[in-house]
Amino acid sequence: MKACFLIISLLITMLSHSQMVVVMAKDSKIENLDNQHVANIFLTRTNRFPNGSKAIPIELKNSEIRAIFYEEISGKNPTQLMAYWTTLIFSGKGKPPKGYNNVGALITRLENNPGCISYMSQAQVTDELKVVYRFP
Amino acid sequence: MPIRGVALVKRLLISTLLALGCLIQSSTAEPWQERLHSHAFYTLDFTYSDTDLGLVSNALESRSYEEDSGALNNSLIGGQLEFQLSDNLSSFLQGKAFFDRDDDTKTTLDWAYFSYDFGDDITIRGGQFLVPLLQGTELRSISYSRLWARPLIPVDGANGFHEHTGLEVLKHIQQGFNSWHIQLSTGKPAHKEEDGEIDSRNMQLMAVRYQADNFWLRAALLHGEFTVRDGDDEVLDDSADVFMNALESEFTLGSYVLNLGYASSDSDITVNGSIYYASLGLQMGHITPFIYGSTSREHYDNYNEPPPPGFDDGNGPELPDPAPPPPGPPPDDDDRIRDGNYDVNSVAIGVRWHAGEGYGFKVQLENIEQKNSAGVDTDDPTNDGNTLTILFEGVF
Repeated sequence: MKACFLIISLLITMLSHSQMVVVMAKDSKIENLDNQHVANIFLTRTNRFPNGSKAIPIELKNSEIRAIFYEEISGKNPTQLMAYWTTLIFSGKGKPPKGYNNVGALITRLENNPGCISYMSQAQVTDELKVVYRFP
Repeated sequence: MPIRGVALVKRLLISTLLALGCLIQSSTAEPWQERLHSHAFYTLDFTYSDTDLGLVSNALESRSYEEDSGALNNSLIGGQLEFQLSDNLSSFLQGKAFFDRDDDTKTTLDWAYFSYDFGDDITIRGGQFLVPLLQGTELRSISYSRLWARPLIPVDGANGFHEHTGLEVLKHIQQGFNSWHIQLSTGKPAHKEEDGEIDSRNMQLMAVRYQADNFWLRAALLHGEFTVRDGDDEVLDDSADVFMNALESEFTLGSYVLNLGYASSDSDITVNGSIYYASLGLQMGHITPFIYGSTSREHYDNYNEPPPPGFDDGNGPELPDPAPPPPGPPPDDDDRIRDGNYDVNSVAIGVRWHAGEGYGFKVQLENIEQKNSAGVDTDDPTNDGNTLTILFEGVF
């Protein structure tokens, strides 16, 4: 029973991971990013895209793929990630991406601002968005 | 400091409102609710001491504990507001409320500044800041940011310079997954003895932090200039200098986390100090047991005493040896600082439990040894002792 549970959990994780993509507005000038740029933007190590334009990372609050996304780009679990943000937030050197309560608001924000970037499952990508990075 | 802080807040608020009036029309990207960011931090600290003891605190005041008793007086709560005035300009306020030495509630404003993003990962900010000598001097009130129960930095932190009003330039350089973070600061620092013997004039600081995959290294250099007066308000030096440096690092080796740190100060007339610390933690899921040791020294020169007859400053002709001191015990000068040191050695063992995202608990047992050969009036007992601390901390 325990083995079954582990296998199912693993399959869910793999499924979530394979469907997770990084997206921007369709009219954004950014076409592709590599994993380093994605990590640096979402960990607010940089606020610029490779072409020099401003990057505004945003995300869905309390989403199921949030922990998977950050584990993938930083190797940090939610607790370690909070410790990381704490040192930046309270010294004024950075803050986590703006969180949205529902996916509709997130997508609207993405579609209307070519500088915004976020991550979501492939199934949530609309016609007004484009994928700039796919997790291998 | 609170009065100055309140005045600064008023000026900032007025400036913010004026800036809002000018900028809000042009800033159409987001409604104001989305440009307002707020965060908070808190620590509920219960510390038991087996002797009369003074300890480093989360606030910029030391803490006294009575023999065989516990207290919650190292607890605090604080908050932060950041408002994005435009795509590049933002304002930032951060303060805290805590118990002062008389157990009354006290509030202070720690950060109040405007920040402008120039692009290319360059940010310039102006206002009031905490002096960023050691990483922990900026984060001393944020218990959640460290492994230990208490800050390692003494109350006088950067040799008494704990905050400054001026300008800071932040530059971030990214090289793959490695990064450099450069912080340049200049301004007028505030000193803990500001209304008394020390009148600070200016300060310059450069801090560089290198972040790699599994370690970071941070170095900082500070120069400050100040005027020193004696107890009779007579100027001893109107252009005294202090030079400070600090080096800190953190290594993550598998489940182990090693922290090492060093800081020292060399100043004209006043106190010279040094601090060393090392800690080792073992991350086991949400539980991290740790040990650490630290040692700090403040060296005092008795600058209140006039030069003795026959004092050789090295510039005049050679003088005969001064007369030997008279026989018998030295005069009672307990009310004066003598040439000497004030040393504090500390070892601790503890455990941190990350109970959830943004909150957790710590338990720490600490042994402290103090030696005050300089006869410094620390306002707190300088005994040796043991403490047990249990605390609940968090950020949101």
